[in-house]
Amino acid sequence: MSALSASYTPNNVVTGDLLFYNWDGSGTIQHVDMQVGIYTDPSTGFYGNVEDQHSPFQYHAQWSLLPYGANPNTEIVYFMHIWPSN
Amino acid sequence: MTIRGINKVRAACGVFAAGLLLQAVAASNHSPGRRTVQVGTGAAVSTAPLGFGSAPSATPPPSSGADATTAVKEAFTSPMVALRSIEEPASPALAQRGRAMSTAEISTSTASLMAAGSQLIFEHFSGQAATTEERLLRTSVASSVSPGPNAALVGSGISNIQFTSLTVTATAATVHATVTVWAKMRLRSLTGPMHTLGPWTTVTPSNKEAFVDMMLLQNGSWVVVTNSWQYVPGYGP
Repeated sequence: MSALSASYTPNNVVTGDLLFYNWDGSGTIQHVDMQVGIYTDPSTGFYGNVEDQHSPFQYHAQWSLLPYGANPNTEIVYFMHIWPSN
Repeated sequence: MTIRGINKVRAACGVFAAGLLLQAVAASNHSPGRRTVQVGTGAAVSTAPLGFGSAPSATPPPSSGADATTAVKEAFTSPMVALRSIEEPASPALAQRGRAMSTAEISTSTASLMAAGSQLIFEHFSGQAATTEERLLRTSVASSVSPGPNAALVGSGISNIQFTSLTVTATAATVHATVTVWAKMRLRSLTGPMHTLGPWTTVTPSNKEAFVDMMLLQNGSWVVVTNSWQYVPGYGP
C-alpha cells in the first residue's frame, strides 16, 4: 500500500510483523524493519504502530516513515505477518 | 488538475529550478574523447527555469567537451526538477481536502497530470528509464488525487544537485550525482491510547539520494536510458 494513502495506523499490523519498503516505485524491496508495538514516536510525538530499524537508526518511528521520507507519493509498504504457529 | 493547478506547477518549477545550484565541473582526464569530471572543485552552474510542459528543446550537439558536460548536466537536471514538480500534488490533495473529489474530477486531474508527465518522459527518457519514470508517475499521480484522510503531500522539490562524477563521450554519458530531495506534508497524528485523531501537523523531511544515470545522445538530445538511486547512507527515512 502507499504509505500516503494508507490508513494512519493499520489495525491489521501487529507486533513482530515485518514491513518491507520500496522507495522508488520499482517494486524491488529496498528496506525492511519490524513493527515493535504501539508507542509514541519520540521524534515526532505521533502515537500508533511504530517500527525499529537499524540503518538509519530509528527507534519507535511511525510505521509509514512518512515524517522522515521525502518521497511519500512513490513509496510502497508491504506487510508480512509472522504466524505464531510457524 | 485544473488550469489553475497547472499554473501552480509552472510557478513551482521556476522556483525549484531557479533555486538549484549545481556544484560542478573540473578536472578532466586525458583519455581522448572521454571526459571525467570530478565535482565540487569548479565553478557553480545554475539551470534555467523550466516551465510546466515546456521541457527544454533538443540539446544541440556538443561542440566541445565543456559544452557536452554542460548539456549532460542540464539533461540530467531539467527533467528531474520538472517531473518532481509534476509529481507533487500542486495539489488536488490539499485543495480538495475537506471535500471529496468527484469521480469526474479525479479522472480529469489524473489525465492532465499524466499527459504532462508523459510528455516530459517521452522527451527526456528512453528504454528502462522511461518505463521506470512512467511507473513512478502513475503511482505518484494516483497518490496525489486520492490521498489518505490523515496525510497529504503539499509540496516537494529538489534543493540541491551535487554532481560527483561525469563521464562523457561523444554519444554516451554516465552521471553520478547526489540529489537532495525535500517534501512538505500535513499529517494528522494520533494522540494517545484511545487513538484519538489530533491536530494536523506539518513535517518537512529531506533526504539525500545517490543517482547513477546512463545517458545517450539521440537525435541531438541527451536522454536518460537507465537510472537508479538509493539513499545516501544515513540520509534515508
